[in-house]
Amino acid sequence: MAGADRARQAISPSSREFAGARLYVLPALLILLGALLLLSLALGSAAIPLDQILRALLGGEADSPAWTNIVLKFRLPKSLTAMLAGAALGAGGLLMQTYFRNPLAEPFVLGLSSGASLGVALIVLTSGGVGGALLAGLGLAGDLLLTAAAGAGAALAMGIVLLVALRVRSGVTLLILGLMFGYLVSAMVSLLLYFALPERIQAYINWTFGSFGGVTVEQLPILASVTLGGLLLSAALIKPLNALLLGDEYARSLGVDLPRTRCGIVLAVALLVSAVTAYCGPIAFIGIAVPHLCRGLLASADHRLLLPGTCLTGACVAICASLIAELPGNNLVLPLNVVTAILGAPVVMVVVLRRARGIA
Amino acid sequence: MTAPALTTRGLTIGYRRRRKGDLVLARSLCLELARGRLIGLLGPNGVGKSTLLRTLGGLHPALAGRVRLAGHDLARLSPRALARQLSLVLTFAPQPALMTGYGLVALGRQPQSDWLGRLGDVDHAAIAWAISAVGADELAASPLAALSDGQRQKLMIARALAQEAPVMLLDEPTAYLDLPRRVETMQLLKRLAHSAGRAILVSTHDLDLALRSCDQLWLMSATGVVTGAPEDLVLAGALGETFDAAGFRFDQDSGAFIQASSPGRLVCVRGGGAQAIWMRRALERSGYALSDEPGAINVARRNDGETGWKLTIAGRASAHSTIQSVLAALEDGGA
Amino acid sequence: MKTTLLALTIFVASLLPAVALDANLTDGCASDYDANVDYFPQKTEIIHAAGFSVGYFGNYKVVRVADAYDGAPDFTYVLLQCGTPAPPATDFADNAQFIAVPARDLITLSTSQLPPLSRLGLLDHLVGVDSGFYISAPEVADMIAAGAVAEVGFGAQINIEMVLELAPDLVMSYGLDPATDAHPALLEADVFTALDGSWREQSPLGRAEWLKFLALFYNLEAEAKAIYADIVAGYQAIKALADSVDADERPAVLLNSFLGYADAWFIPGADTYASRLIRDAGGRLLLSEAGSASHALSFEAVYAGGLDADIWLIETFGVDTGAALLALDSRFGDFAAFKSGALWNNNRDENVNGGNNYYELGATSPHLVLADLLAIFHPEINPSHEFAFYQRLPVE
Repeated sequence: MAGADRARQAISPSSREFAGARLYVLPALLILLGALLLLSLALGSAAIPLDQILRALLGGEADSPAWTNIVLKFRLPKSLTAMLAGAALGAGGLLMQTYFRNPLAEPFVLGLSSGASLGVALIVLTSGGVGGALLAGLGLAGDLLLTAAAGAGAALAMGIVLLVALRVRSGVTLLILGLMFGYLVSAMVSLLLYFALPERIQAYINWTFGSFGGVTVEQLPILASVTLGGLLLSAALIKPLNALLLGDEYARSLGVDLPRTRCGIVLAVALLVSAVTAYCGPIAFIGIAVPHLCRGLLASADHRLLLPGTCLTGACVAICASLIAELPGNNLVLPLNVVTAILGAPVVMVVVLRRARGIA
Repeated sequence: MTAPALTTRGLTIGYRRRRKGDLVLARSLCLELARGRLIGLLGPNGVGKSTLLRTLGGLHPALAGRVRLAGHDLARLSPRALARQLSLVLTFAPQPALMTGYGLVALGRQPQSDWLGRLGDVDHAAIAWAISAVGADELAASPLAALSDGQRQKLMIARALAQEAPVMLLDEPTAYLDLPRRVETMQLLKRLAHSAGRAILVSTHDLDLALRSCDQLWLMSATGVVTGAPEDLVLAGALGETFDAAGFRFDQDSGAFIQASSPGRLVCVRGGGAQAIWMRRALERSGYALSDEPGAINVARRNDGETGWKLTIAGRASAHSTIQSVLAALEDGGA
Repeated sequence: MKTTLLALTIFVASLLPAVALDANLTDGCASDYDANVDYFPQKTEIIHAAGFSVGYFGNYKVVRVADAYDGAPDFTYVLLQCGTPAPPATDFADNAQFIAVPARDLITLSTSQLPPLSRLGLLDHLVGVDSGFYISAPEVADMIAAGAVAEVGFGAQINIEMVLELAPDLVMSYGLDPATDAHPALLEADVFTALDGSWREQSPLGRAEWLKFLALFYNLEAEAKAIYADIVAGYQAIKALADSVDADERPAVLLNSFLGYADAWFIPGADTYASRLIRDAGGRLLLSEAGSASHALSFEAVYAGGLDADIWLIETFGVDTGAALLALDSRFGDFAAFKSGALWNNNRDENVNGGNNYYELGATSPHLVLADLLAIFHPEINPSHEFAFYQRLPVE
């Protein structure tokens, strides 16, 4: 067995499992995330001294009650929302890119965000507006209505895609059907917009701009539990995802139950995307750019590293985008999707160009 | 002899079609794959070799009949249980970005590893053995993107080996490789079948290579599958029946396909050695029939001390330095 | 001798002042055109509006609309007294449109054009509107229901064939963005289209003065002048009441142009329509910056600056109760104005489809809006005020 000995020498035993990967990136990302989280709590439109922020965070009262509230009711939920949304979209993008083996796949390709948009459009454009009579008197349930509409829209889209996923054998077919479904739903939204009041249209358009600031402390647990559910399901899919890197048929020959995995992936992405989309709007580019960024940082294709990696990278990118949108030291805000596009589009361009040159 | 690793009983393969009725490619197949054997699957394009392989591999449902794998019905095996019995190599070697050779082969341990795909010492030993077995030690640390098609295919075979399944199916694994790589791969498979005791079924278009390397051949034609040792099949004329088509025929003497002779003019080439052999091939290629007896057209090496050829057409002789020149003169003179 | 007499007669005639009409011709055409007649003895003077101008030239008037939308060119309309000869087209800008006045049928494409039409007594001329869905005026709704007024659609999707079949003399449109507006398509189809730029006016009275623009097409200068004078008088009277209030008694007003998910509030600058109304009604608009632009503020900035506001004007669609506001965002409950119940929305007068008369009647009746605001900011001045547009939101 001289050959086997040589093979073992060629790869040092400690790094055999993750050969070539930059493992130190994961703890580095974790530290970066912590720093960004603190920064996002410290910076905002209102200038609050750092000691006051810490006092508010540690359960004390800041000198001004408004400051306490701003830290606890605005910055904290907003930062946590950005973190959750970034992690969810990054992981969702990773799942889609791996499953479709397409670098331009993103969590919205299955028409889930279109479905969510339709749900929101139906509520915003045809009922009593963003906070219409339907919402009044429902309490927490009222809080949930838009989310429920977006969730129901996404679930409807997911149901249709799942049904298709069980029947078709090819990922490409699923991809095309998802895209077409998205166009169909967009057309229905356009139709609703065409007949809607200008004020309602404005409310819908504002939703499409995306924001992490709309989630309150009461809503955060809902967003967190749905998102974490999606992340747990994603974690259970790590092994089949690795096999899927070789394509459907090789994955099957490696013992992957393809229909079950396909449904698991669609379900996980639906969980990851629907709550985030409902609460924050259709956040663009994080889902497509973060997996590429993360693969580049980790230099690995192994989902055991990539899944936590995309969660951390996504969270960092989302918090950065949220910080930039707020333009610290200034009262003005930019639409979040403008910022994510400016951050994300160059990443996608680099990926496409590298592919064109045959590097990636 | 031990029990075969894979058997089929009354297996009918093809495609279910809703409107026009099922498309049957082969009917009632009873086949056996024995351990320790390299078996070549040969047949003309479109006859259903890939479908047969994919049906045996569980990627495609059988129209009728069953496939038994180590005593189990293939259709009832879970994907994971199937993966422990049977590994697969396809024509194209995928090229996932940022994966090393080692990482690729390590995927072969998925049927054995836990839910997260963590690898233990046993797994690492199996991976290292598989990499060594295909002679890819120096490729293990390289990123796949930096490797050639042949090198990646080698690693794909190592991955299938690391799976430690008794049956290995390969669907034209050498189709996109150059000749030395094809020879090397077939030799590797033969060695693996014999030394590692695997039952290996490989489909290929490389008839010559299959005849020289395989322990057994499955000849697939529209009428069914004929099995046997390569030499038996040649002598029984099965190869000719399977492959003969307009313009070609299987030459039992040479073990190769030659262009069927058309009613061309007879030419007699005298002499022997490499020069004469290649002259004969050139004439055959150009549509002339070869004759052993001197006739109206004769070609011979020049006998005046110069190198080159002497062409005699109806008694008129001419001298030529190249084969191309001889062919040109024949064309002119035969107008 | 005879020729001398003739020449003398002509000379004397030319010295005579132009034959004067008593009033503009509001019904039908002029007959026996005389170049010396001033056909528009009643002329429009513009006091507050900045977006349009008019010049009179005997038998025609030239109306110009500047800044109808961002980056708009000047639009020129030549309004020719019907029955008189047209001046040469080469005298005017290339994009000048010609129309004989008084015009007959017209189509309006904005609900805010209906109240002036009604006040000027021109509803009989209305043959089409964009859509009846959001119209508040009951008389127009009745006309649509009776089939007397057609719905032609809006923006670039306007039904040109229907417009051509209705053959109006005039379409009153407005501009937001030529890519999605109706007027490029209408002009392409050779339909006379006037751009109503009233929404660009930053002064509430200037916005109302655009009723004079509409009146020009019907030679109703005198009527428009009288109606507008009443509006101005009403507005000034209320403003005078508000001005009498001491500076330290002016309530701090939070104006919620809440943008839902975008996490941004648009607060109008000091020179804007909304800001002027609040100031003229004796209120202080919080967080407003100088200038005529609106500024997008983060919720956090509004929270820090607006928590102590005395009054909160929630000009947000669909919010009818304090609970509905809380359902939008529970943090709204922290505001002092929420706790004290000083929450007001401008949606008292909505039709069944949600069309808000504030944007129809209110846009052209600033004195009515101002009266509402005065009653909100200083209820003691007119305790018996009946609100036209605003309502107080019940807070449990």
